[in-house]
Amino acid sequence: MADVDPDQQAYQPDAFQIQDWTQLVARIHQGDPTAMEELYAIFGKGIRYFLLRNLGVDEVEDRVHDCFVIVAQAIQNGELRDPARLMGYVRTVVKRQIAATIETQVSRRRTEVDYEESLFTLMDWQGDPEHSMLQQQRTEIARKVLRSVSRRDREILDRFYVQEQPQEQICEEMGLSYNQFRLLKYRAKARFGELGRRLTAAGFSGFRK
Amino acid sequence: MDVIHAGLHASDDQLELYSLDRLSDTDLIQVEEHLMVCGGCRNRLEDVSAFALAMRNVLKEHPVAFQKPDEEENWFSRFLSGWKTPSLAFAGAMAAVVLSVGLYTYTQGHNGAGMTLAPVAYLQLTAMRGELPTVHGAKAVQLRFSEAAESGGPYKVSLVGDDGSAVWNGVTEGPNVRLDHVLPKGTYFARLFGPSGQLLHEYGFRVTE
Ligand SMILES: [Zn+2]
Repeated sequence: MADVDPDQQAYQPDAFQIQDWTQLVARIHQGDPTAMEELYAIFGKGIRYFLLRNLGVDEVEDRVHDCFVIVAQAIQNGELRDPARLMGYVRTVVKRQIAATIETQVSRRRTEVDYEESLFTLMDWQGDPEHSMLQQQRTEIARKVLRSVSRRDREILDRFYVQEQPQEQICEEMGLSYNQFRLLKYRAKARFGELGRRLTAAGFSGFRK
Repeated sequence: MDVIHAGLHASDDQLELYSLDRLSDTDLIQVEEHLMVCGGCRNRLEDVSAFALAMRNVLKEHPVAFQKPDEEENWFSRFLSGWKTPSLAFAGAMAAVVLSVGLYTYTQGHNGAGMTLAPVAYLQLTAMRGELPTVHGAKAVQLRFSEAAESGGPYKVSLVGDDGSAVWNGVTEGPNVRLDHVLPKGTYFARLFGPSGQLLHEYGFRVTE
């Protein structure tokens, strides 16, 4: 097996740089409206992404707005003592919003229906038809990928994805180098992406690129 | 103007573990804070998640229920040649149904050499290394897994040929499982999976004429 590191080839990490948080926080504290716009430009998509991922599309814009109001008010009230922690603070606000929304939905439904059912209903957005179809397509593609690998490779993938064994353990027990292990996953993922693109080209939606 | 780092881009490994809920707490905070401001990593997370979750789901639901593509292409001719070689593979549940009918029609209760087959072959399997137990071909095979508890299931059972190709898949509540198929001469491995999909034991046996 070739000794290449697929991750390194495909992706060279570099420093992601943005403006100094101290200045941005100071300007928001002073009530500069352009600073609020900058804050929104930096965090808007990220906040929306986490809310969508955890709560679904329902009322997402209102929730994004709520998060911004909380962050802006905290800055204006001087509650954010260390501006360098702005990213961490935004993350905390979003996490709290997600937790609070889930708690509210669960308790609301608890009064209406059986508890177990309520938890299920809470995740209903994940079962919407488009989402299910996409899941089905991906499942089918994963089956195809797994059909094309050897029994030993399937065992390696099973150990990692199902049995949740750490890669160090898998490599040791299966006599693999770290790069061989990653290459196996890389190839399977590449095949998965390739079959997905073929499906997209054939008119099915859901796969990017 | 001072420039600060908003963290390095997340690696594919980190994103994969994040999507599987297996990222360490320290990495979790760093990765989530970075995802909050980096659209590139959010896009990569979507790709990585799609693959990782599909693989996990398929491996969990259908442990080793796969076969190589060449067998998928021409399973019927392989079914016919399966009387000469031990590489008979069933193309999933649907094909298994078709095949069982086919086998019945073809054999009429006889093996390839014209000898009458016993109605059922019983085989007690123990997860110990050593000589593989042997059983004569029959119209059906009843396997008993020594390590499986009565009503300890549901256990998923996956039977594969010696080349790793899927032969049969099923679910059982206890230690007994019956295959209403004529298994051609050859070596087989029965894999027993626990209720959460983890591989518990693998048993080998041989079928003779
Ligand atoms: Zn990034």
